[in-house]
Amino acid sequence: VSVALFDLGQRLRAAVLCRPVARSAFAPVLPPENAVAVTIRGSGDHVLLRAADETHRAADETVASGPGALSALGRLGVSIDAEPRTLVVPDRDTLARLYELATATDSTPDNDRVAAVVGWWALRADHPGTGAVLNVTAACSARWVLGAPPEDERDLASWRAWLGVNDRGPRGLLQLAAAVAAGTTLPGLEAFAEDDRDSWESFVLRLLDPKAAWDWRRRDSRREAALGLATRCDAAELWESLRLGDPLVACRESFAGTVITGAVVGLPARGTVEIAVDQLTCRLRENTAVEGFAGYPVDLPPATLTGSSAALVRGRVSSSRVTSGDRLLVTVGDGVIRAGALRLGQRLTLRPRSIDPRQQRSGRQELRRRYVLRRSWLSGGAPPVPRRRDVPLDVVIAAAE
Amino acid sequence: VSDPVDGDPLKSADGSEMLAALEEYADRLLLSTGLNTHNALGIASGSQKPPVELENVARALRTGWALDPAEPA
Repeated sequence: VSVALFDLGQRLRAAVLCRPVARSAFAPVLPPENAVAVTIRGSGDHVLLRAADETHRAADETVASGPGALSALGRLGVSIDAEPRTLVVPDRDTLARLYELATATDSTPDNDRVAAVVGWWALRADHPGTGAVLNVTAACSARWVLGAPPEDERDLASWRAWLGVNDRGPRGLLQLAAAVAAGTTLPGLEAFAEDDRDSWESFVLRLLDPKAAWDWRRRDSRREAALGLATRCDAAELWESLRLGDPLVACRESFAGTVITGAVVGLPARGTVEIAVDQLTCRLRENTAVEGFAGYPVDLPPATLTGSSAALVRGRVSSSRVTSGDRLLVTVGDGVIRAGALRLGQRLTLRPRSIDPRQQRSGRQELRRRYVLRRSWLSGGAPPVPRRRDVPLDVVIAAAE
Repeated sequence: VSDPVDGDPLKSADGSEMLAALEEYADRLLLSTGLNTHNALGIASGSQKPPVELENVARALRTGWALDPAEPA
């Protein structure tokens, strides 16, 4: 409820000011790359696809309908032979319908070049933080709060109205995408641009390799599914970690308990620090790897490697308890405390330890190497062990389907 | 940045009515606190003192209210 009340404070402010207020200080999306915006209406033979980009200003937008609707994208130069581009869609549902259209389109050389790009967009869209697909309503919700109930923020029309965008078609989407990506990009997001680039290159190589005879429409093998789940979960973890490096997001999360702040009340042993937390809300469970920084949540540095080195303490939550005076006392143990950095009474903010994208990448490479081993796990080393981690809701739904 | 017009916290600086949907949502959210949207707006903007037992509610509202860095959207 605390987060909802915090949000209500922002909503009331937005209503009084008659403009959206910032939920994040940084742009929460990568700048779009040669963006192409798409809207879809209807379905099956009655589908109507409208598309627009920044480079084809002369033609206001391209429109196509029915089974050949993908040709609207082809006319804008969308092709597996070209450079990767950012797809701008109003919501996740539009991408799902575009994917449906791509898988149902008759196979011709021209159609296949466009349809495969749609397949890649759908693949990357499962990776939070990707620059391949910009979901406008999700991105706007990550950047601003409206003076309206939360459900209004899931409606593109609300964002158009509050941001003063009159065009209801793909051109309007491009304007919204430009607005949400304006300003300084959230530090660390460039790791996703690198992943997008790697993913595109391997997708194209595989598709064009005559020996592979690979069809992107075919279901993943078990190995591909396992590796795909790992990349998706890594992306979700990195995204969440980077977001905490935004001071406004960190402040909000302090009301959810993902970030906690308080005063140092004990340094009982080497590598151990006790903190009396300001609030009772805390989601940092025992054994969670954390890092602590001087100051309040808004003072957290960007969650990049440089930021992590500013940590005063790095360790694990060893215990948490509520004292008789109704104070939450959190103990961080097994820690590395910067020499002379902590003193009693000092203000400290704890957050989950920052994710290092390079470590994630090397972990995935190792996982891939072990999955492709054709010999037994017994002779080739221990098999990957099951481990518990958060999985994005979209990924869970996709797996269930 | 303008604050609510004195005397009627549901009037914004330019005199427009706060969206009815937001008021309905806020009233529902605040049900267990005994506050309504008018109280919440007063507390968030600092023009109304909260009861002592609602200090945590007030802190969340005020922090959310004050966080906007006045960045034009």
